[in-house]
Amino acid sequence: MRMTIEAEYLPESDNLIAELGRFVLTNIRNSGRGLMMVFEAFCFFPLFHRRWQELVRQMFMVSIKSFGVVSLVALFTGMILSLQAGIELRDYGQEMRVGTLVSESMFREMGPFMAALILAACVGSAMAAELGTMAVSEELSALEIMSVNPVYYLVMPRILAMMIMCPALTIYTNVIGIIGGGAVAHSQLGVEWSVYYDYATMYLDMKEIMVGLLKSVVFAVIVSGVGCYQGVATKGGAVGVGIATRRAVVISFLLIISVGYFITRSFY
Amino acid sequence: MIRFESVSKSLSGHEVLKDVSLEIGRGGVHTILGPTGSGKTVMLRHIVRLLDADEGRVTFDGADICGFSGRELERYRSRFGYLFQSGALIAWMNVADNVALPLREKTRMGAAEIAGKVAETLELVGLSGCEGKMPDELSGGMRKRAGLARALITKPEVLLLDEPTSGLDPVMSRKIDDVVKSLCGALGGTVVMVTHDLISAFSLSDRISMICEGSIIFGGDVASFRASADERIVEFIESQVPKS
Ligand SMILES: Nc1ncnc2c1ncn2[C@@H]1O[C@H](COP(=O)(O)OP(=O)(O)O)[C@@H](O)[C@H]1O
Ligand SMILES: [Mg+2]
Repeated sequence: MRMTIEAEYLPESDNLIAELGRFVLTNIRNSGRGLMMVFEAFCFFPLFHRRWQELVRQMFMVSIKSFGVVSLVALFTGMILSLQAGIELRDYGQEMRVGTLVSESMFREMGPFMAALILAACVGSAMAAELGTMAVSEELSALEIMSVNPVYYLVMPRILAMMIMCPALTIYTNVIGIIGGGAVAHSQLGVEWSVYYDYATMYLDMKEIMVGLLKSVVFAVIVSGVGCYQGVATKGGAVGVGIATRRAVVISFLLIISVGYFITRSFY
Repeated sequence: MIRFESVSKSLSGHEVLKDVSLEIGRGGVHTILGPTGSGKTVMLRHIVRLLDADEGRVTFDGADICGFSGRELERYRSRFGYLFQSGALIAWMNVADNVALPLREKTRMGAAEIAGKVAETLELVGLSGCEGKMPDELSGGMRKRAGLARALITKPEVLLLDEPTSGLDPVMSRKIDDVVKSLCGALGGTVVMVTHDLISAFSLSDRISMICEGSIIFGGDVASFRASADERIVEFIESQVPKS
């Protein structure tokens, strides 16, 4: 795909209906171009070994940039889940079951969801800013006329790195969340660690783990795809880079929430 | 060799090129002069199909370049070296890696051979010893010279230079002029240079075109350019070469 070719120009208008139409058309067009870019990046996956250095660099960036925040958020998510559910369960004398609740919610929803949101904020935005800066400083044009496809050179390693690291971070989030929940269960609700652990693992089956991981892979494509597309499609100097960064975060959040719902619905 | 045939182009609803016709012959230096914002960069971008004409067409050796796609476009572009106005070095690669990029990605040369060529080309543009520097550690002029090295390293048939000497001190500017001149003389290459530096335009050009607000207002050799009575040209010359 030719990234630097501009789309057909739609003039701004004072007419409200014309503006609405422009908004809809622009968004449909951008979605289509974004999907095409992601698809093209998938087609380049077999060539990943030629870009392995960049891939490793991106994997490193994905994990380092988000590791601290993911750890804290995961810990507190587990603690909140445990506390909320535990207080209710205690009324019925069932507080030992809190482990099941925490681990089920972490694996099914909260783990993939939290990890993806944090990656969108920390890494997706950085991808948009980095590629956006390259777009406005003619670096993408330079690659294009050297016949180095920016999708192969820049986008493919980023999407692949995210698809590898996001599930890994999701598993990490789940584990930390369950530990956090256990700490609360132990200190606030008086549940023994061993009891908590037994209940946490008792009802966890393979399907839940796999659906959670599937979600995290889909979210990884969303976060990196949106970040990269907003980056390469950036126009209008430094201001444009700021706009692209904000859009990348907002669009990723909306897509993560809505797509997450539909994945859950189709599996349970 | 390269022909603009009644090319018009609008960007964001603003007509940037208006019915531009221009013939660039093989060999020699063809200079496009014009004030800032007149559409010089947009013209260069048409030649390598970073932009496509709305109306009219651009041809290369008689073939409409809009017909090229895939491998054909790749082969077409490989005939060009392009120096961007900003240098356009990849920000997270050092100078040597930037200059080596076209060879690494598009040829099967070994690492040692590439390193040799990089050193040779950097010496040519006066950047020996800067191999390990990152683009943001360089001055604007050095970035431009590194960009020139990247454009030169594949030994292209046609060199497109977007303001090669702006932001350079006079001594360095003349040095770049020499590089361009020697490239043209020795290799018989073609240079299309966009500039508003009249000293290099006058000393290098075989042909000059002047563009003003998206229209070509002059085409001819240096002597007739200097003799032109068009007030826009007279004003442009006098702003840089004061009447003595
Ligand atoms: N991508 C773009 N979108 C909208 N307008 C543009 C774009 N690129 C250039 N222009 C406009 O086209 C005109 C010519 O630009 P350019 O060719 O860069 O000028 P210069 O002769 O200084 O190189 C300017 O008025 C500029 O604002
Ligand atoms: Mg320009």
